[in-house]
Amino acid sequence: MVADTDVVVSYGDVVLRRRDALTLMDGEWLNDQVITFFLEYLKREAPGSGPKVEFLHASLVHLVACLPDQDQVDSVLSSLSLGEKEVVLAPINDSTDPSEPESGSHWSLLVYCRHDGRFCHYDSLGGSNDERAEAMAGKLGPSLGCSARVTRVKQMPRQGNGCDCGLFAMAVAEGVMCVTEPWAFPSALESDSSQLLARVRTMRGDVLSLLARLQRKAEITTSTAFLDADF
Amino acid sequence: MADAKEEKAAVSTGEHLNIKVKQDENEIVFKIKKSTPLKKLMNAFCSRQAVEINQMVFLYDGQRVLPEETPAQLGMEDGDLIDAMLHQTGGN
Repeated sequence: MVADTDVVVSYGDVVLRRRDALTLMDGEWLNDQVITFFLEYLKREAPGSGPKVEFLHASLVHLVACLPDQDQVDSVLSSLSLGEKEVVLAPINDSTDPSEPESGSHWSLLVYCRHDGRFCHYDSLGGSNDERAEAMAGKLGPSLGCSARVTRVKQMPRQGNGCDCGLFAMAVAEGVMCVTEPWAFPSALESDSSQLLARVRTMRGDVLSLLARLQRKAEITTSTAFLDADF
Repeated sequence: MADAKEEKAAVSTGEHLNIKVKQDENEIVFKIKKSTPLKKLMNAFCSRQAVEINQMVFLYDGQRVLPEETPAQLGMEDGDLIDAMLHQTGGN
């Protein structure tokens, strides 16, 4: 059993452990915990966040993707009152096997905006996760109270390596939550995607610094080993 | 785990609940006190599945379960289901 000294930060209902935080190191693939932590952070801190915005946790999205029965999906989602939300963000992973630890190889982000009644799929590998995004939109539809179509955002920049897709998903989530009109984010990307690319470049370090800041704030003295080892 | 016994046909008493934990095809029923932190149940489930607790996320009604939370705090009822999900990763 892992001792609680392994916990780096407990933030909202996300418990981030050392092995999760280490996926932020250069060249590593991000895991669901880091992405969920960042979405939880945006939920609390981003200017565009609020009661009308829902950030679905990565493991919940995975559960929804794996549940075969729409009734079960609706039941799992019922406590979130998605029908009352204006914007819903869902990290999409290509994993299909719930019995395999650390499964999957690619992250993208699906964003629903009630304003224009559609899902936008932001995928840094072109349309690699399109099929998963379509399936997720179909499963979220009854809870959202709509059957919205999915548009792949063609202006989405491509990742130039084999490790940063999670950062692209996180940077888009942040971008969407920092503009006054989340549904207009694709046009913003079209006119200037350099900001997003710049954000992706600094994001690993920035999120690690954020974790260190939160850790100090929480005064978790037992996990200073994490800081000593990696900062 | 004295407070989170696996007990398939347990009858619910006022103080205890039978809580199902499901991961993929595997479902285990635990009997747990309403006031016992759910980490007891999480640990018991992980050792039964031979995975470490840091490899799993537990969801109740779509919400993540924190280890220190109790069934009473979450308003759990007898027979309720917790979904256990393994972590995912991605890079390219």
